[in-house]
Amino acid sequence: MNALSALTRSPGAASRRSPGNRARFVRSLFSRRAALLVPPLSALVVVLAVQLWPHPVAAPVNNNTPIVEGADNLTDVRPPGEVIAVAGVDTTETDRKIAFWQARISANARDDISWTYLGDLFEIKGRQTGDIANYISARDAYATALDIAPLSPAAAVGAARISATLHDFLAAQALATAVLESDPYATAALAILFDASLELGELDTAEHALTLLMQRVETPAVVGRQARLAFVRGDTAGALELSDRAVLDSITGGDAASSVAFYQYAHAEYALLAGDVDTAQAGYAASLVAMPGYPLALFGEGRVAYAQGNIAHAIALIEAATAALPRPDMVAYLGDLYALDGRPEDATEQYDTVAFIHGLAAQDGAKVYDREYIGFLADHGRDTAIAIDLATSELVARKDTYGYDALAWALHAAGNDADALTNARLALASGTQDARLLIHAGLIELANGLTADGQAHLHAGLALSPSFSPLVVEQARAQVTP
Amino acid sequence: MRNTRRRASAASLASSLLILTLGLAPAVNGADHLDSPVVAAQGSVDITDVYAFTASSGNATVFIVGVNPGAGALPNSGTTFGSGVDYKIKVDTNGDLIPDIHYLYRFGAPNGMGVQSLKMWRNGVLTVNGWTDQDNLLPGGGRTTAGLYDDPFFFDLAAFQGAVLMSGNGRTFCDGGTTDFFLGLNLSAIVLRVPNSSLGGNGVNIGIWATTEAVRGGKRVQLDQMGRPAINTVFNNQSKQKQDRDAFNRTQPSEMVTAGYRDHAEDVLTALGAANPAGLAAVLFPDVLTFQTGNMAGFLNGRRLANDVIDAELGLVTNNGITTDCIANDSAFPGVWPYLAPANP
Repeated sequence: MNALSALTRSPGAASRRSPGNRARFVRSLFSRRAALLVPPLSALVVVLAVQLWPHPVAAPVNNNTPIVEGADNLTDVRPPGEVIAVAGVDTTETDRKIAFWQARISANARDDISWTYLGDLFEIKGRQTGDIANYISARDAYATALDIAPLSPAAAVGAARISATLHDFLAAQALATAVLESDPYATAALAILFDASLELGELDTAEHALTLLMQRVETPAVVGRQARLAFVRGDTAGALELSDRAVLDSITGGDAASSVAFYQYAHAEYALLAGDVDTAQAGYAASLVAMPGYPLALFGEGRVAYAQGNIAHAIALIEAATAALPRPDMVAYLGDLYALDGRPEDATEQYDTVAFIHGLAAQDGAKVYDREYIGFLADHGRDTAIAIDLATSELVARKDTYGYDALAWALHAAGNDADALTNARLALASGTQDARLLIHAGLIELANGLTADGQAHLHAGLALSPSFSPLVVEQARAQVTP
Repeated sequence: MRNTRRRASAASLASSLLILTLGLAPAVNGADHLDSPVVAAQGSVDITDVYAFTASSGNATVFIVGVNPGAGALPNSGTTFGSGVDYKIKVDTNGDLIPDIHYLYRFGAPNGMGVQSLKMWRNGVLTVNGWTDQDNLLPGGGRTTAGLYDDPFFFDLAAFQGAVLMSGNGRTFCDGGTTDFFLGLNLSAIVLRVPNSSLGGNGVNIGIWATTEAVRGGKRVQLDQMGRPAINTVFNNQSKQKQDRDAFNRTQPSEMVTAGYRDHAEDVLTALGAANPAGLAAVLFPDVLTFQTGNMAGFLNGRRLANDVIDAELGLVTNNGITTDCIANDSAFPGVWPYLAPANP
């Protein structure tokens, strides 16, 4: 069981563990950032779960269950990485709670309970602000708790959840599995096992965990996961129906506004993926009514505006979204829109920001943005060797649909279309109906001289969702024949 | 083999003790949800403890119900009452386990200072229309208040996790590292003092329990229920039984025996090595805090703030296998209204 703590301990974590070191570390990041960055970023680095909840970034917060004793770490089935991050969010109460447990730790550094609460609270602050530094602090706090109490289920579940949030899915899966060995019905661990297994491309394990979870809990967080599995398995209609149910359940269940906003956003994402722009637009709008300024929904509205051909409006919306939450894929999308709008300098500034944010996260040992970064590099033909390296090493452990797609796209960008084709076909094997996969595959097939297949995939992809990436969509439009 | 089994059961037992008594998870509570961009307070429906004791005059009874475990420190606990929540203190005066008197509390949204309007209905009649953080007099005698106070509970949680839950932290009860996890923690509490004449006089045997209710799925449902410390999850403690635990929280005391909870408790007590499992189960179920009005004694007659219920229950259910966690009351109770110690800074 020492593996538990070993798994969550990152090299160098010990040196950063004390609050003082942490603060110095964060300050140094900020000063480096200040020196390097022209555009003001409201958050240091923002985590996101983009591929974690492949496009429909699934369900958040589970708070409609009338379970009082159950409302603990072991029954919490929130998905990892769900971010609220509305601009100007007030974290005063969270900060006060963090200070409370830090004071307890100052008095007794061997108090694993306080370390675990500290981890919980940093995780909450991460969701509130989108600042990845909080997730790193949470990870280190849980690691310390597990050093002290290696068999603490609460610390292990916290560590598992934060590992998934930081896209260390192997660690998340191992930690969740260890918790389930001693308590087969620990619902939080089941939820994390589902999330991690899905990300690792182990769909059968994911489905098994979800089946057990559904026997225990019926909340939007679980229905949202059902939607997600349905989508990955190619059942987009089923995903839409389930995500719609999650919205209704969260409303009738009296969920908090942030939860309702999230499920509306998630449903809109599935609608956009299904090519139903009107439903998507209505969903994002409803999400923004529930939580004004919600950056994920603003980004959604921006993509809808682009799909409708209104680039100026799309730019305005995504500028607002990235001002609150500078997530790399959102920043890259904004850059692409600037490029399409004839503003190359503005585009370059955004692209530099993407690279910088990825670099900051990677420096902290977090893989959160690797996949977005691979896509960004491949889209722009930058550092394709790095993109291929990252995608290849990711695939060693994580053989999911979008992992094959990322490698295929990076190989294509580097001109290795033969290997790109092999991987593009692996990406299509799950049957997931996503324009990203179809258009990437179509362009790669055309590059391999497979005209019929390539055109068919381009047609299917463009019909499905013309908004996933302005640059790639323009490429596809240029090559598709009527 | 036998030892192993007993040990495992003891672990479950103790974990349950914690959950229900403290409103904490056995293995440390986690952030259970966010209510808004600001962290929310599911803790506001989570009953931590119920107390009932005779006031120093001998002619009045004090009821105290706590919610918001670790108020303002635990991830899911704020420092105010839920404004959509019904808080009820239920009193059975004739032993049929049906409440004959119920006190319903509702709170308004907190103002900038955290003060909330407080309304209390006794048997459906609006009796108090006042505020938290101040004394509110009841017509015909009695008073009530509600607010943030020091949590009267005391327990070595870390030792419990180490010695009973086997978290591996190296702690045991009464070792050199003995610490009271609740020292310095607060809760939100309702304090109500009523003349015994309003309960049927002195020497009446009554049963007391508290519930929280809120709207879920368009319906008002009961979320938590508590009489004696620790009963629910002591006896419905495995996670595979968590559904039962939720069901238990919605099972009225009058239905608990037919629902099988007492028989199940007897099985658990047998496994734990209690001296008289059937007899003890019959005392502990249904889960109602039994109390004789006017009687100054404490637990198991009602429960006084300083009663060491953990020691008492550990001893009872383990047949004195575990008798103490070596933690005593840490609070400076005033001994007079409002009985609870002021909130910690």
